[in-house]
Amino acid sequence: MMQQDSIKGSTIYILIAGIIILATAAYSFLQYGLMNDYMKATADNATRRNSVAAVLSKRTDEFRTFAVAQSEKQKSLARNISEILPPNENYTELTRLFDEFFAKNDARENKIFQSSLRYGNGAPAKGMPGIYALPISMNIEGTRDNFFKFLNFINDSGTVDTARRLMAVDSIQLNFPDGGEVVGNAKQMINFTVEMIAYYQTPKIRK
Amino acid sequence: MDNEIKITPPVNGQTPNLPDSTDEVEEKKPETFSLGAGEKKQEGGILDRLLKKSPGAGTIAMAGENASKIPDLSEILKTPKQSSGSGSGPSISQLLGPQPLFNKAAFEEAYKKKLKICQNIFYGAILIAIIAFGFFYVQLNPQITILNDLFDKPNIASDFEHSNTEVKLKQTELNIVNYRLIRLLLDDLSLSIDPYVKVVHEMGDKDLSDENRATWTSLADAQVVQIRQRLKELQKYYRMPLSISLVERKVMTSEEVETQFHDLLKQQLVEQKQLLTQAKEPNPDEIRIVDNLIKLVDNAGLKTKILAARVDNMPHEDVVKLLSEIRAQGTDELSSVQKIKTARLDWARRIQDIHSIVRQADDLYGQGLFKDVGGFLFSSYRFDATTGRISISGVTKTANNKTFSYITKLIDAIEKSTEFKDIDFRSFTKTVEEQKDGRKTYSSGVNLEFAIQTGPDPRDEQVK
Repeated sequence: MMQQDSIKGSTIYILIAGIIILATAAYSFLQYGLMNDYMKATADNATRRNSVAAVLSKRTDEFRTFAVAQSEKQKSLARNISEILPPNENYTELTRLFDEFFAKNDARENKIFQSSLRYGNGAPAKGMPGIYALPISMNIEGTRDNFFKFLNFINDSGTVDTARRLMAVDSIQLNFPDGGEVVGNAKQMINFTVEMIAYYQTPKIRK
Repeated sequence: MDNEIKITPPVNGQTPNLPDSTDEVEEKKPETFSLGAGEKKQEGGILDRLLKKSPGAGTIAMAGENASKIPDLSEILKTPKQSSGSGSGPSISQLLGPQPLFNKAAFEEAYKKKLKICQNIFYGAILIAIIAFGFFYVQLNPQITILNDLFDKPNIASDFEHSNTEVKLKQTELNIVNYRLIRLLLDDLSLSIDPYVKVVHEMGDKDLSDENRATWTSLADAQVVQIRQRLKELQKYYRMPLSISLVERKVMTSEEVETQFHDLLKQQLVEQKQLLTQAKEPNPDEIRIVDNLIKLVDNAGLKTKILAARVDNMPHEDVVKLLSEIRAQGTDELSSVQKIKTARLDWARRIQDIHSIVRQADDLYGQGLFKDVGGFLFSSYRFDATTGRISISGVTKTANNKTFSYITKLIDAIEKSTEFKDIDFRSFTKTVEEQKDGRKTYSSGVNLEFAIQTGPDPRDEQVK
């Protein structure tokens, strides 16, 4: 009996030890392979980093050269953008812009007269993130010719070459005080009320 | 032989006493093992059983001797030399050979030794396993920093992760420079668009003389060369992959890797913007540039549009259309401006369209002859961009009684046109006035409201 117990006990120990050693060997083999891969990848990464650094240096030089060449254009672009879409409502500048237009186009034989100008409160423009809309309402009396000049003045706004504040007409109410419309008469007087929008960038400082 | 133990045969049925050992034998009353001695309880061993006749009986009957005489087994077991007898044949000991001797204590000790060795092997195996597991766990787990703390050297996994991170950061820096270049190229392209569009618009003027048209055309040709070059450069930088091939812990598809680098790029730019915004004196121009870069990185639609552009041998009008689409896809300020301009209605053109349509019903409209010949006279217009609707109010005057038919002619002309639709005028009233010369004139008020048509309308063909 003792002999059988002794055989059993030592055999179990040896068996378990054998299993542990085999498992350890298998685990070590796999982990060693992984460790080797890591070490190799680390060495390769050093080469990659240097290669990317070389390309980065060259590309940075390209960028700097191009940026210097474009610097004047970029300044001009930034200026134009700030004119087309100013960083705030800037309605005083807008008022001066309108006055300039009406003064320039008002002539003895070809009248135009802005009798009223009213600004609303700016609000975010629908569907235009980062853009705000300033409502404007004005009453104008002028010739047919000046009326179409005014429409073109609004339609040409927002281009880089004119650098004029971006505007759009929301609605126009035209009335022909002298009876009815005479298309062929460029000097026919029209009373018109215009509801329009002047755009600007989302203000950085809220009121 | 020194350890030989003599066994006396049973006498008178008594169990044989195990003899004391000789001086040379270490144990003095050992519990010996003999053949078959596992059964201690049995009387005697195998030999005894072999020799045993019956309890108390004699043992081996020897030839020529008195049967009742119990022979001395020791005598039998002695070697021929030791044997007191002479010339009686081989003894059992000779036959059986040397008697195996079993020492229980020695066996136990041997067993314990063996067990101890096995246990040590077992513990050794566990120790080796712990060491192996511990070594690889410490080396291959990037969260373990004990090596770094003790020896100021990261483990292999940390080293690997760190080297991967370095490469990713370097690549992200390169991506930022690439996108800055793309942004500069797009801005340069933006600056070229408006003048080019204006030239192409002038070139398309039907009333232009051939000489002027040739001038505008050559100007457009010169401008489009630069535009083509810019587009090709844009395509070159957009084609550069954001990612770089790296060994990673987990398997990733190429799209996942590209997404990973895209997210890294965006994250870096967002951090840059935060730093610029939180600076003591934030520079709005720099913030705007970084903000535009972030939007550009996210703008997959613009990238697709530019990569798909093929401007070689494209007519100027198509180039203008492509550039407008590219600008509309953008997310910078000029792109927003472009979107607003595209949505803006050209009211001057709409008014001219109305005049053209009214002339289909009244060919003398707007000549100032209403008082004399009648027709249509509109005194007010209302245009609303929000609803996309137009109202015109006025009167109509006819020499005959078919004033309402005259109005329906205008209604049909408006509905049939491709510029307007959804006209709805259901209430007709008229008055009649007799002139001094007896002629009658019929007048009716006209208030027409209709919508701006933006796409094909099936009613354009139905109304004849």
